[in-house]
Amino acid sequence: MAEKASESSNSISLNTVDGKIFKVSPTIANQMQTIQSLIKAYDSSRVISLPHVNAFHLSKIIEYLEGKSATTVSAVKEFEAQFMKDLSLKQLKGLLIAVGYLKVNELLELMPKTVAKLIENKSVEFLRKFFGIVNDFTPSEEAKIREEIAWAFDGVDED
Amino acid sequence: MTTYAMSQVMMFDRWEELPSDLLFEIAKHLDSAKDYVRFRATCKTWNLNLPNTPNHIRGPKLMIPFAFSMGMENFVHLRLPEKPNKTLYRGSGFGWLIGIGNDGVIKMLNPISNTQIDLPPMSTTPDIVEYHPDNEDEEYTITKHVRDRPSYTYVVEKDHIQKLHLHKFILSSSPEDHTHDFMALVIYGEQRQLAFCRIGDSKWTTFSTKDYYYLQDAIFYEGKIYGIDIDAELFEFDPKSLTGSIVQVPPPNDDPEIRLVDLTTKYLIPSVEGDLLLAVRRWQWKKWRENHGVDEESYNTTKFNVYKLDKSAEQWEKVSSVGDSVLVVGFNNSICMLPFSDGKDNWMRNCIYFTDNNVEGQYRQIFGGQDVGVFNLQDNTIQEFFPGTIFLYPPPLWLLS
Repeated sequence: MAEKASESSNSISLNTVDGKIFKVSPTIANQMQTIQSLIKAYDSSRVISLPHVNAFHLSKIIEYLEGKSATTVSAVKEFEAQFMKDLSLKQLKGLLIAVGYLKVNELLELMPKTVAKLIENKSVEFLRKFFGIVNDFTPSEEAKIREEIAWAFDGVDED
Repeated sequence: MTTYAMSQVMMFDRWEELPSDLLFEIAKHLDSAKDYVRFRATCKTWNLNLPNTPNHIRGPKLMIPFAFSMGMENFVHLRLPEKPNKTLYRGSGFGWLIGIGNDGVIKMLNPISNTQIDLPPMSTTPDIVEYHPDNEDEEYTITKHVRDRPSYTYVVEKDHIQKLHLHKFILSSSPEDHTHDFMALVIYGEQRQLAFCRIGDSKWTTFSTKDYYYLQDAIFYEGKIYGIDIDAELFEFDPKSLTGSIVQVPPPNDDPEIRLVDLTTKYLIPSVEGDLLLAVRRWQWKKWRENHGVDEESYNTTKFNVYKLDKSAEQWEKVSSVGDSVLVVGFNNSICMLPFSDGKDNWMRNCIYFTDNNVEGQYRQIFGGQDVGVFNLQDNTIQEFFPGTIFLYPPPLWLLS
């Protein structure tokens, strides 16, 4: 209880790009390396502006940092799986940018790993559809690549 | 500044524009080379921003000449760089390949960074007396040494010299690692002698020695160079005094066929524990087709015997296992490594991974190069990578990391 009280008195205010103020404990704030270095540079009373992060992304990051403090390894794994499942691919991309900017190391590991898992053994056509990417190779460039790496094109899963 | 960065973030809406560091975070979790190259083939931006070779996939990679089916589907393999001068790769170490062109150019190539370093050309290797690129089919004049008789010279075509004059290159270190004195070795000529060059040298220089030898492999070990010859005699060369001499260690005595040149290849390998290992590869010739009533033969590896140098007793001691280690041999620097703990690789413990460095076997371009596989010391079995194939050219080799 005492810890909670001291936390609220030391809480750090973060202002997102869409103007929402979040109050977080130093324990949570310090897991975002970018904020950790800003806290050191500023005095603690100041509101820290995050011009690259919106409220949705910051709330997801805080949700993750609070949730992954579960006691058992299997509970953490379960929480992480659910956390990733709840994100759409579009949300995932925006969140990944925010995570990269705030340097949340655990998410910087978990999120790319999850994306990689989703595209294992998939065809190039599947990847383009999956990421919503337009094929910008010219037909001759595409043919050249296909020839060079033909060995990688067989044995993929059905799209 | 802030406004600019902000607008950049707000405008970001497409996966193509994922910052390259985050893109790489995803790519490095793609543990199969196939997944990696497909990911990189998705669009131009990703193709440009991700390195050509999946450097995050650790361990040696098999470089194969072109696309065809391989017995081991998911094994990390890459396309061998094919050059206009029909480069043959005859050495590999520390991320570099060493290739010989049919124009006599010798280059080190790092396929990951795509950088190249020239080594002195074929015409500067010992025994080459003259090189006249315009004399078609008689480009080289070469000295022939005959034991206990005077040597003489003869002319020979460049194709022959490219394929047979230089058998294997061995590197001391990466040429970009300035904490080590870089030296490249080459086993050359009909007599399988040892020559070296350093960066900036204009030619290859032979180690001087009084002893007769015919090397099959050489390796840098504990500040010296060790060579193993066809008779399994051990030789020591000093990279400082540039001299060499025989070491008084008798060849292993349990294998009467160890000296047979067309049945064995020997490799010297520093073990993970710091010992010097000798691996003796045995192959067999067998009929693969009948051509106008004549049996044509091809070869494949049947087994390896491994020995450890007992330095105090000055003899080779046979070992039945290399424990958790993996040996990797072929045209590459012969190496011993531990498989990785993350389970991401296909490397099996207590095994020897081999490619085909039998230059005489490959010479006719009818068979050879395909003798690639894994020998398991546990149960003495062989898994072939190219079953049913009798010819692969240019021959594959390991790219070491």
